[in-house]
Amino acid sequence: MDRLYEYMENYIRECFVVEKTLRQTSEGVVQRLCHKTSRKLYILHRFQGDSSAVRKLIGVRCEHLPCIYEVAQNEKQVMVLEEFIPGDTLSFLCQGITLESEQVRGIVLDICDALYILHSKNLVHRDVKPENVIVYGDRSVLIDFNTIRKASPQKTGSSDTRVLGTLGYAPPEQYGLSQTDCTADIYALGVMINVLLTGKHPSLKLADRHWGRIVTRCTMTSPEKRYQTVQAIREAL
Amino acid sequence: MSENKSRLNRCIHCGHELPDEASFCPFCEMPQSSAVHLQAPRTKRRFLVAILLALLTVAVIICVLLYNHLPKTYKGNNHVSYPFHGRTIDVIASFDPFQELDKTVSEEKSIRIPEGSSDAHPLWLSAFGSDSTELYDLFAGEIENCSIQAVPLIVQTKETQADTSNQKAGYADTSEKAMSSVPAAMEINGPYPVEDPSINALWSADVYFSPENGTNDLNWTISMKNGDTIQLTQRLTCSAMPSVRLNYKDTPLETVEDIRKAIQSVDNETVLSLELPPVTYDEPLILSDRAVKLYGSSDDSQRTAFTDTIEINTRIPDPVELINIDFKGNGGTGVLAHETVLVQNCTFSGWDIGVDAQEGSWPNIENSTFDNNGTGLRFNSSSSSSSSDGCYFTRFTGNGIGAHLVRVPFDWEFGFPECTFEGNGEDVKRGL
Repeated sequence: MDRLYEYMENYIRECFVVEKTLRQTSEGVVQRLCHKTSRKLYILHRFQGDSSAVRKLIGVRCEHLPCIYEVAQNEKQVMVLEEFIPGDTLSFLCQGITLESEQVRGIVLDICDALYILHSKNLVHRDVKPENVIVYGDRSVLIDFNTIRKASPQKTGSSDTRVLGTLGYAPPEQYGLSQTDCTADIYALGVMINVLLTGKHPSLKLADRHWGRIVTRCTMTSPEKRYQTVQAIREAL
Repeated sequence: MSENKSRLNRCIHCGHELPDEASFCPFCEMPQSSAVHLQAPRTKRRFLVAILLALLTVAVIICVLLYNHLPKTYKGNNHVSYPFHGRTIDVIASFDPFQELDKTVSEEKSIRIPEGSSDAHPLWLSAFGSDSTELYDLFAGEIENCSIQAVPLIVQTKETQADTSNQKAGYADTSEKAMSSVPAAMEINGPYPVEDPSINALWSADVYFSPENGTNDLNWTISMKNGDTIQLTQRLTCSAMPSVRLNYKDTPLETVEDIRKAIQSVDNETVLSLELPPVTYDEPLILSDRAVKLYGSSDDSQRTAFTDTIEINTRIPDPVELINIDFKGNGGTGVLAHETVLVQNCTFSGWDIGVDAQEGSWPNIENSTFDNNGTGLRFNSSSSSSSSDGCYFTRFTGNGIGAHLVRVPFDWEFGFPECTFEGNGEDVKRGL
């Protein structure tokens, strides 16, 4: 695995140009690369963690998930080369405004399709939020898999046991040591729906009528009381 | 780039050397394994919804097709446009079959007649809209049945408005409380198919009415062989004419001039009855502007009498009536009629012609006497606005000819039920 990491480091230097660093945090770096020959754009993620989860997405083609081309890992870091999705994030597009019901419905249906693929591979995104949704024409794409994990109970004291997700979008169980499964993504999706419709967290202002009922069920404190699958949310829509 | 030839592979597209665990070739930018296209399944529920929608669409289409072939009811006032074999037939109910279609066909008619009297009027059902005789005949042949019903209407007054609990909109309240004030339905004779090709009508009926009937809706129902129903309505109102009765005790009626003045003092819309004194009028009286009812009287010495001709040229507002009058002539004509006249309890004597009913007239003679006249009754007319069965309870005695029927309108059988003929040169002569 180290060998692939080293090989990848080398061909990134040889074959690509780093156009822009999109994000640099304590958790990792996100860079936009441009292939020197084809001029095609790519995204390079470098982060600390385990690559086994995101490796499951290599070769998977879904119009609502970026294509993962290569995943490499050494002792310290994981490096992921993935498809560049043009467009703007939902957080950028929704600055200071709220969306109409039909717009939100279209976005949520796309994200449900993306989450279905992840959940079908027993993966949990854990960071569903407007900043991680790229809107490209009439297509919404769920990005940023640095928090993606396998849906399995975490051991006490494990190095993986740390708070993941974004404050407000992470379900209560993500702050504890209990099992985190796909309902964690459903919780975050419910919060995102409410933010898109009202501009506020559901604890501050719940969306109206039918949407309010969906958000309420998505964000139930007890995971077993939430929608159990994203397909159930699709049917509710 | 470090190489370990024993653990290197080649790109399956460009052949460049790659680590065997590589999934991507950075040189040709191609993946090293087949792409797996994944999509979230669509639930059975949506499939079922799609199936239901498809079934619903099919059901709607079937319902539309069936509806187009179901029997329908076409309803109008007196006019219905009926689709027939790709054309439109205008079906019309009228009071006059000779009205042109372009004109406004009257669906309502008001008739005023004297109180206590009755009258009749024909009703017609016609079809227009096609110059094709064949289509017209085809339409007529498709009529299964034709019926007509008279339904009396209540004209709302303050009293009737106070109690409308059992009343349908406009129609008679049949509750016990209301029945005493409900106008009676007009009687209808028919309808019958019209066989006269000169009359542009398919069916006709006669409606009989009096002022007591008030307003009636005359509802036609035509049932077609294909199950369709055509409904039309005419409205007929019969009301009483105002009437005035002048008595010789209150009004000067001693002379013919008095009679003329009395007639002129009353408007032509009012039925006028004059109760004449038991005097003899020796001047002619011509009734042209309006009709009048003349009632004779008697005292110990005589009855009301005329020695000169009464000429009748009008029946408006109501036919002339001559009652309890003696007509005493010395030649000439007692009553010269160009319009309908009613004669009751009168005597005619010494005239060349007692009653001369000429073109346009119809004599209705009852309980009268023709005695010692050249001709008691002469009838010579080819047309008339009314008719009856003839003379009743009348005596013809000592006349040259009792009754001479030169021409009778409509080839009617003019009869003499309960009449007496004695000592006449010829009792009844027909033709010239």
